[in-house]
This record gives sequence, structure tokens and C-alpha cells, in this order.
Amino acid sequence: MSLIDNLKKQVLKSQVWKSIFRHDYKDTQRNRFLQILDNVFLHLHPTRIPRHAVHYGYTWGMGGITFFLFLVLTVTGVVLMFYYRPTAEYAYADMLYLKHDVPFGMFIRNMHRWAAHAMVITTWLHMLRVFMTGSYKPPREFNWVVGVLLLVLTLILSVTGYLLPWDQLAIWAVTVGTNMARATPLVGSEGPFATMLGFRPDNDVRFMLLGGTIVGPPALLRFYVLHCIFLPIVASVFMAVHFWRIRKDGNISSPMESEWKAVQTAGIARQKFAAARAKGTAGAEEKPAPAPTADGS
Amino acid sequence: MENILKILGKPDNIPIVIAMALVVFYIIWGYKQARANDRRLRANGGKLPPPDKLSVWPFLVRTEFIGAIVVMLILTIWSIVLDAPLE
Repeated sequence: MSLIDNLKKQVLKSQVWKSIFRHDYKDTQRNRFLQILDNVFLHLHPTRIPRHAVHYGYTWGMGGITFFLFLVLTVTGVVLMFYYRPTAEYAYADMLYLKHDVPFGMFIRNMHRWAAHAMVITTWLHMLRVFMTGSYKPPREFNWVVGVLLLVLTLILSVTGYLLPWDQLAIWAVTVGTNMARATPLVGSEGPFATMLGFRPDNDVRFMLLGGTIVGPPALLRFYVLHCIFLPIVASVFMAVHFWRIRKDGNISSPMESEWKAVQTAGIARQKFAAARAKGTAGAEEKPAPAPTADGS
Repeated sequence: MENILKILGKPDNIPIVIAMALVVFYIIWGYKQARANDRRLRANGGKLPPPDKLSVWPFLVRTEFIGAIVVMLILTIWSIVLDAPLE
């Protein structure tokens, strides 16, 4: 054996190597499963999936694309945070600095902006696909609700991020949006029943959103903290719940799932009873339910 | 017409135009899939067999990897060609 072969053998058999790489990479069924189970990121997936789960025509891939865009936004957002200060004095100036002076500054800013728009679109399309495939039906109804919450969080992230450039577009768009909040029933100072509860322009929901009565420096700071810290953390928690529920509720849905799952479950129960009877251990209470008769009894 | 095209061509409005087109496209595609499913159901007497299974590695992981590359490519080209507005 040559020196290189010997060295290779020693490295591959060493404890250091085996502690990092837990299995080999020959294409066996066992290794295909371990590649998923032994990976902190990939073990989000089950080891096997129905054939239609890899068809773009069934899933559209929009959920995965949305999550990928969230990761892109996180990375580009962190890079932008190196150059941006959320104060009225510096915000717009820092945007000009990014545009003209920072290498690839405009590219990173563009990527963040367009990924944000794309994420809103893909979230809606994902919702459309889930509806069209009936994947909101039991047992997935709770996950649908979590998905709607994630949609709302995506939209709030969009709104809070829109103010940060502190340009004319930002200030007036948020002015219009928060003026709508002013008209909310009960908690808005210009909405119905506001005077009954004592809400004024300086203590209503709009005041709480803006940290003042106009879109000013407190609003910028507040939106920055919401956009960069609070909302991403909350969205991450809800995404974790969303992905967990996907696994617990039976992974990707299938056409006519409730029908064939009932047949499958009944089939498994009958097999178990037959096996127990053959062993002589089946009692009267273990009999599977009789098949329904033609008249439904 | 010129005015409408000018408004639709603004960088911040382009995602809205894309979204409108995509929603129409996916609704049409979704209904085509639904009709194909109904045909399968009729052919199988109103029932569908349980689907057969594939390993996630490499099949789904490969699909996801290609999807991520395509999305990154589209985002990169979009970010180079169109500048975000700063008014």
C-alpha cells in the first residue's frame, strides 16, 4: 500500500474523523436515511415522502421559497445594519451612503427590498396552494391558523421596514397607514365609540404605534426595533411551530388522504388481530369493528 | 396608456404586476391539477390508492437545492437591474 493510501486509511479510521462524520457515504438505503436523521437542518424532513411531494405542480414549493427568502432577508438585513442608524438625523444620509459609497451597498439594499416584496407574494401563493389542496382540513386546521399568523407577521414586517429609509415614500406611506389606525373602532381617536372610552390623539392606538402624534423620530426608532428584533424573533418562533405541526400532522397532504388513510388503518388493525389470533392471545375485546353492511348499520 | 405604463414600470410597482400575473397563473394551474385529480378518481371508482414513497435524500433535497439556486439567481438579476426607490 502506498504512503497516501496508508494515511487515508489512518485518517478515516481515526476517532476524530468518526466523531465528526458519523456514517459513510456509500449510496445505501441506510445511509440515505442517516443523511437526513443525522443532520440538524435536514432532520426537519421525514426520511421518506410520497412521490407527489417532489412534484412542483402539486406543492409549488412556495412554503420553502418563503422560508429561503426569510433567510436571505436576515442575512442582507444584518449587512445593512452595519451601515444604518435609525435616527432622523442619519437615516436618509445612511441610505445615500449605501447607495453611493458602500461597495455593493445598493446591491444589498436592492436584494433586501426585492426579497421582502417576493416574500409577501410567495406567502400569499403558499396560502393559495394550501387552500387548493385542502391542506387546511383536519388534522391540519391548527397549522392553517399558525400560517395566517405568519402572514400577518410578514405584512407587519413589511410595513415596519418600509419606514426605515426615511424618505418621502416611507414617511407618507406610514402616515396614510397609521391614519387608518386612527379610525379603528374603540381604540382609535377618530373611530366609533372612542370618546366613550376616553381615547384622544395623544393616547390612542395610533399614538402607541408611532410613539407620538406624528411620524417622527420616536416612530422611526420604534419601527426599527420591531423590524429588526421583536418581529423576527416572534416570526421564528411561529415558523418553528409551523414546521413542527407539519411533521406531527402527517407531513405533506395527499389527494383523498382521509379516504385511503382510513382504509390503511383498518387494514393494519385487521392484520394485528389476525396475528394475535394465530398466537392464541386475542380476547373478545380485541376484535376489530365489523365491516359496515349495505344499509349502513 | 403611456401614463399607465409609466406607473406600472416604477420599480416598487413591478412586484405588484408580477403578483397579479402569478396569482392568475397559479389559479389556472391549480384548477388544471384539480381536474386531473378528478379524472384519476373517476378512473379508480371514486377511490385513490395510498401514494408510493421516495427517499428525501437525494430526491427532495435535490429539488430544494435547485429551487434555492433559481430563487437566488432571480433575486440577484432583479437586484442588479432594478434599483429600490429613494425619494
